[in-house]
Amino acid sequence: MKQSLGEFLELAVAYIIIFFILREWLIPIMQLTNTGGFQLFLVFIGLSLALSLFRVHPLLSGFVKFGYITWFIVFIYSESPVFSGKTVPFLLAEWKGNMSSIISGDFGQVSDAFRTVLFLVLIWMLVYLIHHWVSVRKNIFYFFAMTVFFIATLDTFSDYDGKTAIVKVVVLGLMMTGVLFVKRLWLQVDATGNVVGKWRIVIPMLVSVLLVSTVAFFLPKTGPTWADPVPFIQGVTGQDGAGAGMKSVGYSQDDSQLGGPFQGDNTLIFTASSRDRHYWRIETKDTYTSKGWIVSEGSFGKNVYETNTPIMTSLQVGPPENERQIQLDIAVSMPFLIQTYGLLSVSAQNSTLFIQDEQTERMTIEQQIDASKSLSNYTLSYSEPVYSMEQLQLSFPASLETLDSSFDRFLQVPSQLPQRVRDLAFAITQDKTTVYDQIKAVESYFRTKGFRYDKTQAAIPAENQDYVDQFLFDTKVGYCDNFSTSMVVLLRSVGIPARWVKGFAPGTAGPMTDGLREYRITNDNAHSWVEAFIPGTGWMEFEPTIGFTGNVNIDYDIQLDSSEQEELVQPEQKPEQPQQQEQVSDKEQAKSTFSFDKFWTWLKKFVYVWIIVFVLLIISGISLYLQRKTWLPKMHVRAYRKKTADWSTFDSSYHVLLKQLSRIGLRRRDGETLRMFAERVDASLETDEMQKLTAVYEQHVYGKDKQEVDFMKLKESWEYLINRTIS
Amino acid sequence: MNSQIQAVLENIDKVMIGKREVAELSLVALLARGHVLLEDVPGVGKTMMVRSLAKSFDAQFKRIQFTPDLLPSDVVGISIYNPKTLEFEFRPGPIMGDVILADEINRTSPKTQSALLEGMEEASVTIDGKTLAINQPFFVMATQNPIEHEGTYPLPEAQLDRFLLKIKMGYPSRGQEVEILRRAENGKAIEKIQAVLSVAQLIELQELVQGVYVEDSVKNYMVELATQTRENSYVYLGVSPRATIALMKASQAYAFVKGRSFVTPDDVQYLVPFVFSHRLVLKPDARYDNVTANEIIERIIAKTPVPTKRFAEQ
Repeated sequence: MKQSLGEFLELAVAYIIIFFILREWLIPIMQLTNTGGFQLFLVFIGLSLALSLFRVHPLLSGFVKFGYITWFIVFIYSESPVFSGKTVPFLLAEWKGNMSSIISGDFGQVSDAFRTVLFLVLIWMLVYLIHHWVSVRKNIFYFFAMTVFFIATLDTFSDYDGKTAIVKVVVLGLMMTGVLFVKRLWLQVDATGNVVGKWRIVIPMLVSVLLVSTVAFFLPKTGPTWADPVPFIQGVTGQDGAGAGMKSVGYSQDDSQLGGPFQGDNTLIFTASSRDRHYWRIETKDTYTSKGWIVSEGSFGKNVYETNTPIMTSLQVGPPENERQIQLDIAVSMPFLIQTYGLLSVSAQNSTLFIQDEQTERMTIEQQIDASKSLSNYTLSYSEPVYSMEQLQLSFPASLETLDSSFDRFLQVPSQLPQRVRDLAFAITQDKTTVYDQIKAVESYFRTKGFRYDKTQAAIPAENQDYVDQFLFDTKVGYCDNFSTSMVVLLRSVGIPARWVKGFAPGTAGPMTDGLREYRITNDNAHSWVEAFIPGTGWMEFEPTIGFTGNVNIDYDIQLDSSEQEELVQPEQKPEQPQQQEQVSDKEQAKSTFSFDKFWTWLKKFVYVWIIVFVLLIISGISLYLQRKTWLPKMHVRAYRKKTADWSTFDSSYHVLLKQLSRIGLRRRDGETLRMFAERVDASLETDEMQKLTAVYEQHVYGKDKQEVDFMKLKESWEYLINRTIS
Repeated sequence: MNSQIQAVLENIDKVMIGKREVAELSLVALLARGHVLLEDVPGVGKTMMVRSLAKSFDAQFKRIQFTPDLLPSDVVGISIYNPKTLEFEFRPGPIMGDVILADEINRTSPKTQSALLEGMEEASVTIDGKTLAINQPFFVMATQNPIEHEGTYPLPEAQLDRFLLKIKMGYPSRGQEVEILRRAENGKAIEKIQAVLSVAQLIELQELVQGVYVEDSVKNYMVELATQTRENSYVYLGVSPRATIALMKASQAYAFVKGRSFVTPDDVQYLVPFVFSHRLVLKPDARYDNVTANEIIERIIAKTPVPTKRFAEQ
C-alpha cells in the first residue's frame, strides 16, 4: 500500500502529538521513581515513533531499537566505553546475574540495568500499540483517556503535580482525536484524497481547540468541588493516624515517635564516588519503646580516631587486599560521619577527629582548627566483608543462650508488647534450624504477606497501641521504619540479638566513569534497616523493607579469588548472593538424592510463578479455544491428508467442514437442507465447491447404492473450502 | 433430469408459457398415480395444461364440466336398455378416460362429487351393483374456482384428501402474456404438438417411480413434518397418514423427475406445501391472526431439523 504525501503528513502530525503525550507519561514516572536519563528515554520514544512512521521494515526497525537499548545500557551502566572489549562481558554478566535472580524468584533483586531494559521494551510495545490504534483503528481515544486518568491518579495519590500536564494532554488529545476524526470521516465518504480539502476542516478545528484551551486556561477557576479523596479514603480504612500532619523525611536524631506520613524531599545531602553500591550507615539504636527508638541507659565509652587510623566497629571487614576508597562530598553539613560496611579508616583534611560513641557506633566529626567549618569532603577506606555460608549454617539457636549480658540491650522488648507479636515471631522461625535461616525467614516475611510500602499512609499508633503490633496486624502499610522496627522486635522476641540501624539508602547512581560511579544521596534516601547478631559470624545487615533490595553490587572477583568457593558467600550486604547460593545447593542436593519433600519445597518457593504460569496457561488456552477457527482447520487438513480416501473419511470430513463453517458464521439453520446451505456457502465464499461436495454427500446420506466418485477431486474441493474459511 | 420427462416438459412448453412448474408438478402427480386439484380463476390455461399433458402421452383426454344438475351417471356412465338386444348396455361415462379434466368440481352436488372421488381413490366405479375397474393410467385434474361461493358445494376435507397435490396456476407475467398473444396469432399450438411417450411407457415410468429410494432418515423427516401439523396451535385437524404417504409418493416422483434415484429433504421441503396445504383444517384463530395454511407449513419447515446423517447413524 503506497502512501500519498498527504497521508504521510497526517500521520506525521499524529505521531508528533503522540510523542508529546508520551512525554507527559514519562515525566511523572521519571520523577516519582527518581530515574535519570530522561532525554535518553525520550530519544528512544522518538526513535520508535520515527521508525514506525517511515514504515521501516520490522526486522531493521527491531535491530535499530535493540542497538539503541544496548548502547543505552552500556553507556549508563558500564564503566567502559561502548566499543571496548569489556562491553560484551559486561552485558553477559548483567544477563547472567539478572536471569539467575529471576529464576530464583527474587524479582526485587534484578539490577537497574535490567529494569531499564524492561522499561524500554515496554515503551517499544506501547509505541507499537499506538501505531496500531492510529493507523489501523483510527481511534486514539482510549490512549488519550488513559493518559488523563493516569495523570489525574498520580496527581491525586502521589507527589507529582499534574496541573500543567493535564492541560497539555487535553489540548494535544483534542487535536489528535480531531485529526483522526476528520480522517475517518474522509474514509467514510470515500472521497479522493484532496489534501487541501482536508486541511480546510482540520485548521478551524485546531484553531478552536487552541482558542478554547487558552481561554479556559486564563479564566478564573473555582476551587476543587470534591475534597482531596486521600484523607477520606484513609479515614474510611481506619488509617487516621495521618491526621498528625506531614513529617519531613530526612535524617533526624529523634526517633522516639515513629509513624505518620512523610513527604518527599529532594535536597541533596551528599554525593559519593564509589565503585560499589553502599548502604550508608550512621548510627544504631537499641531500645524500643512501643512508639519508637531511644538509646538505652548505661555507661559506654567513646573512642577517638584520627584520620587514616584504623577504626574499630562491631562489624566485620573483608580481606585487606580488597580495600577500596569512596570519595564523599557533603552538600548539607552533617555532624556525623557517614560510614559504610567494612569501614577501615577515614581520610580527611588534617586535624579532624572522629569521636565514636560505642553504644550507637555513631561517629561525630570534630574539627580541631576551625570548629565552625564543617567537613565538606572525605574519603572512606573499606573492604567489603565476606561471610561464610558454612559458618552461617552452623549458627544453631542453642548457641544464643551462651551470649553474655552485653547483648541484653539488643534483646530488649517492651513489657507491654502484645503476645501476638511474639507468637508471630515464633511461628515464622519455628521450622528453621539455624539462626541465619530464622533471620532470613523474618526478613522475607514482609514480602509475601500482603505488606505494602507507602510513604504517606503510615499510621501513628494510638496511645495504648504498639507501633509494631499496629503495623504487623492492622495496617500492613508503611515505610522503612515500620519494616525495620518490626523485624528487630520480631527477632528479639525469639531471642536473636538485633538492632535498628539508621542512615541512607544507596541513592541514585549516575553513569560510570573511570571505574567509579557517582551516587547522589538526597533526604529522600534516609533509611533504616536491621543488623542482627549471628553466633560465630557476628553482626550482619538485613533489609526487610519492600522495594529496597539490599546491596546488589556483586563483585564476582571475590568469588573467583576465594579458595573456598563452595562455602563462601558474598557479604550479607549483598543479600542476593546467599540466596543464589542456597539455590545452587538446593539444586545439587535435588540432583543427588531426589526427594518429594525437596521437590515440594521447590514448588512452593515459586508459588507465585506457578500461579502466573497457570493463569497464563489458562488464558492462552481460552484464547486458543476462541481462535480455534484459525488453527483447527489446518490441523484437520493435515490429519485428513493422511487418511485413506473412502466414504467414511469423506463423511467425517464433510461434518468437520460444516463445523468450521459455523465457526466463521455460516451456520446451517435447522430447517435448511444441505443443498440450500451449500448454495448459501458458495454465494458467500464465491465458489461452487460446496455444492459439488454436497451433491456427493447427499448421495451418500440419502441414496441407496453408492456410485463411484473421485475422492481426490473431492478432497481438493474440501481443502480449498477449508482454506477459504481461514483466509 | 430424466430425459423422457424432459421431453414431455419441453412438449408442454410449446403450448404453455411460463408454466413449467405447474407442468412439472402435474407430471409428478401423474407419475405418482395421484390426482391434482387446480385452484384458480378461469382462463389461465388449466384446460390447456391437462390437454397438452394428455397429448404428450397419446392418452385419451376427457373433460367433465360440472354443473349443479349433473348426475353421478353423467360421470361414471349408465346402463341403457337396448330394445334390439333386449339387454341393458353399459355406456361408460367420461371417467373412463386416461386423463380427465373435472372442471369446476365444486359447482356440482356432493352426490356427483363423490361419484368422481370414489373413482379417483379406488380406480374403479360401481354401476348397478357391478364394479368396473378404470384403465390405467387414470389421472384426474380437478379445477376449483376460489372466488365464486354462490351456488357452490365446497369439497369436504375427507374428499380433498384424495388429491395428491393442490396447485395454483397464477397469472402469467407481462412478458409471458405478450408471448401468449404472439402464439395465439399462429393458430392453436395444442393441435400441433405430438405425443412423445406412449401410455405404456408412462405406466413403465410409474413403475420406476415406485423404486425411488427413500432413506429412513428422510421418512422420519416426513413423519416429523406431519406430526408438527398435528401439534400446531393454529391447526384444528392436522394431516392424516394418508397425507404422509402422499408426500412420500410425490417426493419419489419428484426425485425421479429430477433424475435422481433417491429422495432428498429438498424434494420433501419443496412438495410439502402442495401436499399438505389443502389437507389442513385451520382453527378460526388462524383467520383472525391472518395466518394461512402455507404460512404454517413454512414455519414448520423452518423449525423441523433436516436430517444430515443416515438414519442408522443418528
